[in-house]
Amino acid sequence: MPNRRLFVLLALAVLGCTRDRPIEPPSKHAGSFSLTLATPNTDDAALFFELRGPGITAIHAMNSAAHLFADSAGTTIRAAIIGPFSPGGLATFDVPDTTRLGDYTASVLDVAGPDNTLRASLTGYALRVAR
Amino acid sequence: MTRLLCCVLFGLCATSLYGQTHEAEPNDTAATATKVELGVTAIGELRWIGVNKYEADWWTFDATAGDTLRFVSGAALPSTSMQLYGDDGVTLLADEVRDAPELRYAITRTGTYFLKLSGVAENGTTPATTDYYEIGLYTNRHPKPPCPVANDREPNDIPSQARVVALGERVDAMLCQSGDVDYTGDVDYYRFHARQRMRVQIRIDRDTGSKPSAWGNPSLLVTRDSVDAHWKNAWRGGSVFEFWVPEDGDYYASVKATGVNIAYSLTVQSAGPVPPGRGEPVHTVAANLGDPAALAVASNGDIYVSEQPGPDGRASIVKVSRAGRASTWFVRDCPCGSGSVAFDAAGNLLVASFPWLYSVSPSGAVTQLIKSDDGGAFDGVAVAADGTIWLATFFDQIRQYSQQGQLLQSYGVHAANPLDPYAGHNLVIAPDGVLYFDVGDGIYRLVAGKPELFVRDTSEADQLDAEWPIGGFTFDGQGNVYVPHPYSGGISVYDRSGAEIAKSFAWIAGAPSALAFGRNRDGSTNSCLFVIANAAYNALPMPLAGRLYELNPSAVSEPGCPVGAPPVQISIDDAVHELLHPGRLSAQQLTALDQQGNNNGRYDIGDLRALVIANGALATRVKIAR
Repeated sequence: MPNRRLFVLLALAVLGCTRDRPIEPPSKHAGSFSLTLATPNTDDAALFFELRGPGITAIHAMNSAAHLFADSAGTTIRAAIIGPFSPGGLATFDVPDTTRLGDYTASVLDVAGPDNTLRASLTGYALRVAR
Repeated sequence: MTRLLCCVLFGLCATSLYGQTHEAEPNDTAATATKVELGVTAIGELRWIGVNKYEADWWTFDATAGDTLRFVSGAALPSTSMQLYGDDGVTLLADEVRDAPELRYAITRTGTYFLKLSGVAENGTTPATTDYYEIGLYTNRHPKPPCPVANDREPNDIPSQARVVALGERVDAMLCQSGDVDYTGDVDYYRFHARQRMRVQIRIDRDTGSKPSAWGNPSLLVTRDSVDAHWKNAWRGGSVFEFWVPEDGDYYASVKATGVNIAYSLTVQSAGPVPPGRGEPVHTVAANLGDPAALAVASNGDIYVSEQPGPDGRASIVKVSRAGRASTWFVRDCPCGSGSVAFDAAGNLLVASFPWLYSVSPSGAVTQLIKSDDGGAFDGVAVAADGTIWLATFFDQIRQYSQQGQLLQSYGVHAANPLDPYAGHNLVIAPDGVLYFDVGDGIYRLVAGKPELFVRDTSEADQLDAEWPIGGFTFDGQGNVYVPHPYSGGISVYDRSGAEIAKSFAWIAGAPSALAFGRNRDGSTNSCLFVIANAAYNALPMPLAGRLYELNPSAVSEPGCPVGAPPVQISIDDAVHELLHPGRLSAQQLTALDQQGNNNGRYDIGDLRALVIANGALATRVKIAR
């Protein structure tokens, strides 16, 4: 009897101490969103932007010749993409639930031209998340 | 066996098997002409008698109708010329073929004929005491004998036929002047493989016997791809040509000479690598500088590099920031002159162009300060501590001007170095205020208005045809002088007494041509030592591959390089992380990134783009920074 109680207590202790969460099964709504760029210029060469939303992974530049750098910490992701790229589709990223499009937003922080100088104004620039 | 073969070949050349007849002085007139048979080689010397000419030598021979004369001169010196006279010794029958050391004539009447040899000194040359010659008196009945077979594996007259020679292998060879196609003589091509930084030594040995040392003197040309040339003409005494290899690859050595059947041996060998110097490693600060001519450092640390004219005829002055960002600052008027540059005390950049010495203010305003005159275009320029401007003219004068451009003094320095009549290519004021200049293979100082030898460079690897081994030079605060050598790529250091400190202090796989120390804001120099170099010195067309290098500052006896000095090595990972999550890089690194990029005072996406481009394409397209 004491041995059985001890076993139960040990089992409870182990369960109580572990920080592992159960593995969630893949959502049936998991998928990808795209990021599109609106720009007043035709020769943008580098873009620094923020992407916000839950569970973002696997960010890829749509133009395979571009270099995309991003962090993966938190729900706000900062990323830099170095051309070539053009107005329209800029990048794609994976999300766990594509039904929650409204949870995702993006904004332009800086843009550089082909001579590496920053655009004097970001007026006319916009990033939109779409399915 | 090869030595035996060589001895035999030398012996053949020196014996009567070839049929030689030496002159019998006096033979200065037709009446005293030396008798000779057709088919032999007539040998003699023209003695210098002053008044711009040599004595004449007369030869006489009998010829038969139907003989076709073809007399070929294998003179060591170029002045000898031939004339054919009839039996009266007065009637001129034929002159030498134009632009060729050959005389041709068809004999129509059997009889006695005279051959007159004479010579004049070329304009501007110092005549030799004697002018040795060999004349092959060939005819259709007495043709030129075939060239003896040697180990140079003829035909080897073009690069694609080059005889492959291994390092350390000795080749016994023969230069045979054909006279049929190329009057300048035979050429032998050799191909060898060499590694970067190897000290290749090419040795040519000849036995001239009783002939003058200059006779049939071979010249050597070392090329990589027919454009990057190093050559040597002086092979007296079995001298060695040394060549520091700029990059791995196959190289060609071509040997040629005027003269008749010249036996020689050639050996290509390695003397090991150029030893690393204290000034290494060498760091690239900026590339794509065209064909750089000179440099000067502003008190804020920016480096100004003058370029030689490019294909468009324009010559720029490029400003290079300490982080290596290059931008065109000023486009010079052309003709562009030497492009020597120096800062005055007010921060104006003085530029030696043609026909003006320009003064360019920090804001870019241009003033024509001093015009060159009959002393020739300006070459070197330096500014003394008292503000006076020193200029070297192309024609051997060093002049001192006031800050306003008024001539104060002029010094003739023509006699400084007989090797080079055009003195004063570079002018430098030493820390003790004495003016130094370079001429030919020497650096001199101006003492009491007279040139005084300071140091002479006689290193084989530094010399191209034994004349101009010095690119430019500069002093550190201790009075040590740093000298780049365009031919070898080496940089030497001498102390204030001219004693050698380091040789080689550093080596660059290119042609370093000028150097300058960095400057602190008070104008004093620091240990940042910058060197400009192009890929090659003699290439045609000249490559536009100029670079600005910095030597290892820890090897320089000066206060340290200031903040911002390269190498500021920043990885793309770190630069990306800094942009996404600031805090990883130091202020110095951020400044360097900004200056390499858009130079707007802060680090941003444009600077990251510049860094990515500078590092080439990345292997991975998506990089996740954590």
